[in-house]
Amino acid sequence: MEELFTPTKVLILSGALMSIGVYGVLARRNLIVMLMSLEMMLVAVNVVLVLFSRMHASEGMAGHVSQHTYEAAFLGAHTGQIFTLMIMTVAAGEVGVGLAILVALYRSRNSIDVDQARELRL
Amino acid sequence: MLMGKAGVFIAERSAQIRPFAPLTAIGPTDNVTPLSGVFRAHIMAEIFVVSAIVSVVGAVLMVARRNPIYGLIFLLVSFSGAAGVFYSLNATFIAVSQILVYAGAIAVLFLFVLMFIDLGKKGEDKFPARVDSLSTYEPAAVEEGKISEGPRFQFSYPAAVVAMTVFALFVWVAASLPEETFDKFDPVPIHGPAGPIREDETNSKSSPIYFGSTAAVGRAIFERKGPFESFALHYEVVGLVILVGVMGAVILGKRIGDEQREEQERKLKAAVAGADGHDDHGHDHGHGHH
Repeated sequence: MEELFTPTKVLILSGALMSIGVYGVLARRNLIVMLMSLEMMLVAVNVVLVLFSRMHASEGMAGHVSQHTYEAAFLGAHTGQIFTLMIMTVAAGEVGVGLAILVALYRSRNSIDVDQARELRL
Repeated sequence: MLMGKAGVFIAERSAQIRPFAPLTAIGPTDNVTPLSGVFRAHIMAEIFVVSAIVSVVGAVLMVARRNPIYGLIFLLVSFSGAAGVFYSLNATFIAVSQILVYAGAIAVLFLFVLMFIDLGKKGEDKFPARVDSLSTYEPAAVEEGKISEGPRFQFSYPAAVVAMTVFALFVWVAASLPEETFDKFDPVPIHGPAGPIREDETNSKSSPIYFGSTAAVGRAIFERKGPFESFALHYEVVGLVILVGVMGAVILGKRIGDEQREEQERKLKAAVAGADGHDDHGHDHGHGHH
């Protein structure tokens, strides 16, 4: 199974998750499913960031002579994971606002069908 | 094959955990059996393949199921698979946060809203498909009791074509990357007291920091490596972002009081009447001219 676990395969997995999210946003009229597909796309981005963080960690680690530069490089390789954490936080805030808009839309329209939402006024 | 290796993996791991060990034993330990790097790579590959399949299948079922409650359950499955992918990429802290934040918080938020919203009366198409999709729902048949509910799945051709184009683009980019960097994973070094150490050296007199562990991510965020090189400020700003998000959600979700709503409607009617009056005037004027 090792030949299936390469950075290219992880990138392809991320592309699959991203395109499934694109399909969900385009194909569905239900606002909740559209929001869930949006979350799917954010997870695909996180997969790529974690992959590059992992690749950065193992690249060029041997050449460090001093302890200080090695430590800085080791911690610096976590930057992708820190970005992932920030994306998770932003996704949580985005879902909160999106669901609040959905509830407000449902109150005024009695439906969460996006085709019914033709006006910006709630 | 997979189960056997996983069993050995768990057995080796649990052999390292000694119950009721004294606190001093945490950190420098002498008698642990180290995991061999090759063995670990095998396990990571298998975890990746299984998690990737779970994640993609869950995502496909999420967008395909017509009822959003089932879609939500498959979203949970997909997120768990993504957590497995993160674990196979040595990002243990991110994997745990994925479960906690997405499966624990966001999915429950979705579930609350789904339960809060009444998705339609009986006999009415609760989850309408786009005009061009395959879903054939007959409200009359449901009302007569011929079928209990509409079709389980929805499919839309144009959206699938667009999604396949996006996927082809991703595959094309991934395939055109340089092979020497992208055809295998190099082993991740472990942070030892004096520079990088190998996996089979972790039982030496050291307290190693593993890549992607909570300690490493925490130090990477908050440790000052130079002027303005810590991520602490960025982290505070993200906290501000989520605070603004919560405030926006509260304001949007607030139910408008009756008198306030009447006031709004009165204002709106006055505005509409004003606009109509102006329009009528212009209309009459035009008529008079002819």
